[in-house]
Amino acid sequence: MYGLIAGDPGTVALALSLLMWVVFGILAIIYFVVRNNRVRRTDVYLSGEPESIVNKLSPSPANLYWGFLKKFAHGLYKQLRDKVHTGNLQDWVNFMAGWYGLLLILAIIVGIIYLLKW
Amino acid sequence: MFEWVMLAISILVFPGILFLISLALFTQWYYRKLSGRLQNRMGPTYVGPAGLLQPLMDLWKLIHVKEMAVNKYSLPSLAQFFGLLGISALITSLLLFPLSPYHVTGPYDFLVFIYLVSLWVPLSMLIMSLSMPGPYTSTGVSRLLTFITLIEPSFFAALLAPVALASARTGIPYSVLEASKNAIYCWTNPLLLPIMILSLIAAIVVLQAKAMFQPFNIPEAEQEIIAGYETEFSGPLLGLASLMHDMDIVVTAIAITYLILGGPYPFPHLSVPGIILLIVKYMAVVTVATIIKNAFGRYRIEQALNTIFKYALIPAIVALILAMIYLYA
Repeated sequence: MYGLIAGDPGTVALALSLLMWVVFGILAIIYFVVRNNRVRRTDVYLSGEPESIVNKLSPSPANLYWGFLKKFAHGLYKQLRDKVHTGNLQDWVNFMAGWYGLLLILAIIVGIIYLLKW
Repeated sequence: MFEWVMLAISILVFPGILFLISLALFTQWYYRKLSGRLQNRMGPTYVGPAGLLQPLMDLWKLIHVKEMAVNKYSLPSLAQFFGLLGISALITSLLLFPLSPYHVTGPYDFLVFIYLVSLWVPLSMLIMSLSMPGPYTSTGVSRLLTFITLIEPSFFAALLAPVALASARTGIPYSVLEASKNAIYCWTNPLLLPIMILSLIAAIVVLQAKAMFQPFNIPEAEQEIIAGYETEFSGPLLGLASLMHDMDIVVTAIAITYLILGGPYPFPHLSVPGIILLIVKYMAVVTVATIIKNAFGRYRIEQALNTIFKYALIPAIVALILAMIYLYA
């Protein structure tokens, strides 16, 4: 068998990253030899409308996760907004104390199990 | 000296540049032809026997003949740089599989595979798109990013369970090479069978979503948002994007074929039954994806995410938990 048998994943990552750049170099040479170099200047595609019909050419980066936050994880988003970000500090303290309390109880249970096993 | 020759062959010919490009074009022909037949159309017909060379002709025409259309906001050099980089990551990732005559292997190299395929490829695709901005592109990128938040963790978890099980007792844990060689034996163990089935279901859903086949084609949503993240691509750049998309499908299908279905094993690669078994498994994976593509319409973004969550992420996590219980309990 030919190849590199590494003792750790770091060496594999390094070797493959280097090989990736070698492949990139070869591909770049092939691509720039065969590609058509002609470039045509045009406007942004807006279904035939002028650029003036849009306020911003590119929506805000905040909207990039719109589908995830507002649609898919809507329930979670609503909970966070209505239960935590109510503007009342007491709600926030209750939320955080609840979670930290749960984590503390879990840590104690895991600690007891770990100690009993030993 | 011979090692370097094998490395050069692995990079340039098999399974590197030449083979992966050929397989990507063949896979594109196959899913287009099968989709055509399922929809009572001809599919690719004119170039080559049964239209087999049509994808090659399309690619050649885009790269060599068509001009690139750019606007004043475009950064075509950056887009081309990342297009080539994404393709390079996909080609390099195949050196981890037993398919390659020159292997790169080591413990936990599965993480390196994920690094190449789940980091560089989506990142390249996103930067390519954002380098050619426009309102339709931004909408497509937003949907693509939203998809990636679920697809890539699902892909990782779906493959991690079989990799952990198959490479556990080999001395090289979480190795793609060892997992590929031993995955087939997990199917014969009745305790591991449910885990493998769950991983397979999750991986097929992930392949569907990564390929952006129906019902998960909302990021490109043809006619609704023109071509989504690909709207401003043209000429050579569109050729690169299309090639990267097809190569991504091929590498994902190869990962499923080897890491879950066990590749050609228990037969060796260079044997007739081994080659036939490998081809049958690969074609079966692509065929299932194509049939699902033609059986569904497009889901809305939240429907698509819910489906990925229910049928990819949850089965993959359950499979992973069961695999960890089996290994460490």
